[in-house]
Amino acid sequence: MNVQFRPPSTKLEIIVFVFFATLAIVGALSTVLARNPIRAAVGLFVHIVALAALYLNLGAHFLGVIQLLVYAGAVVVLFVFVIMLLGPAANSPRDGRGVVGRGLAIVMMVIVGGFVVDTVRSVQRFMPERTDAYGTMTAVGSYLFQRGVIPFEMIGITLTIAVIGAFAIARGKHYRRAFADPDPTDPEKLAETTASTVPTAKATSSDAAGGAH
Amino acid sequence: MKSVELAHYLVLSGILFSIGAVGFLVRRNSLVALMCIELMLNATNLTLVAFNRWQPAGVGQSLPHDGQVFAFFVIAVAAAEAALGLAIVLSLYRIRKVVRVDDANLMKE
Repeated sequence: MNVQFRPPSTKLEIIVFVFFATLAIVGALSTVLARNPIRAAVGLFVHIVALAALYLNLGAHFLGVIQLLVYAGAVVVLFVFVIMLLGPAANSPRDGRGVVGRGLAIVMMVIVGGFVVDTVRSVQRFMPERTDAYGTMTAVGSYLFQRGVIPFEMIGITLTIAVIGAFAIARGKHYRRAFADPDPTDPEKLAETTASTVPTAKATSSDAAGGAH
Repeated sequence: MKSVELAHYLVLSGILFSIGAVGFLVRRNSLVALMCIELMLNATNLTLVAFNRWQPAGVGQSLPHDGQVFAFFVIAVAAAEAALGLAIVLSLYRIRKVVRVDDANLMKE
């Protein structure tokens, strides 16, 4: 089959690539280097938005939108929420590893760089012409539901399990204590507890409510 | 630069992946470590989408979107991973009052 190669990219494409590539690197660096986790989260946000723009530049419209929805809309917000829940404790002192970590990091960079250079040398040079449907929601969706139905369903199951697991892990002991407490609406148990341990019924109910949060 | 080529995207992706990997190895804050995992997954996604763009359209198949669909699944898995990872961070903070990965040694004791 003949592949049509398109002419070199337009000025706009080059400008968009250079600008957002720089933004992505700056975002990634500020994620890694920031002392304060909130700043790291903002760096991650910038990085993600820049990558979404690069996806759009590559003609992957659907994926750009998904990137913004899932990453910027959900994952970063989740990070910010957890940082907020942890409060000042999220800012850990004495951050950064010793000589072994840094050495390992440098070795890692050299290996990845070697692979990149090796791949770039053998890479195809010209961008093929794309069809109008390329990267649109219709085209990607029809691919997804023709060839990728089973992985798609499996990813649904995976996400469900992950959400249930996250609930189970994150709620911890507090909930169990709240449920172990006697039901404040049950008059018999309430009478027992009021007589023996807990001074007033009001305290029991407020304890349970406090534990549930 | 006369034209944006696949090599540019690959180099960018390699740089981003290296930043993420170095951050994961060097930082001790568990939240930042999780963010670095997201950086690495994002760099991989960029490679997949770029290769998808440069694959000759329609060779051997009518719908050339493998790379994008793969990136879609990677995004879904990354979302699940972030939810679980952050749940573990919260749970660890409840038990030990720490967020440093060095202090997460409950299974060692």
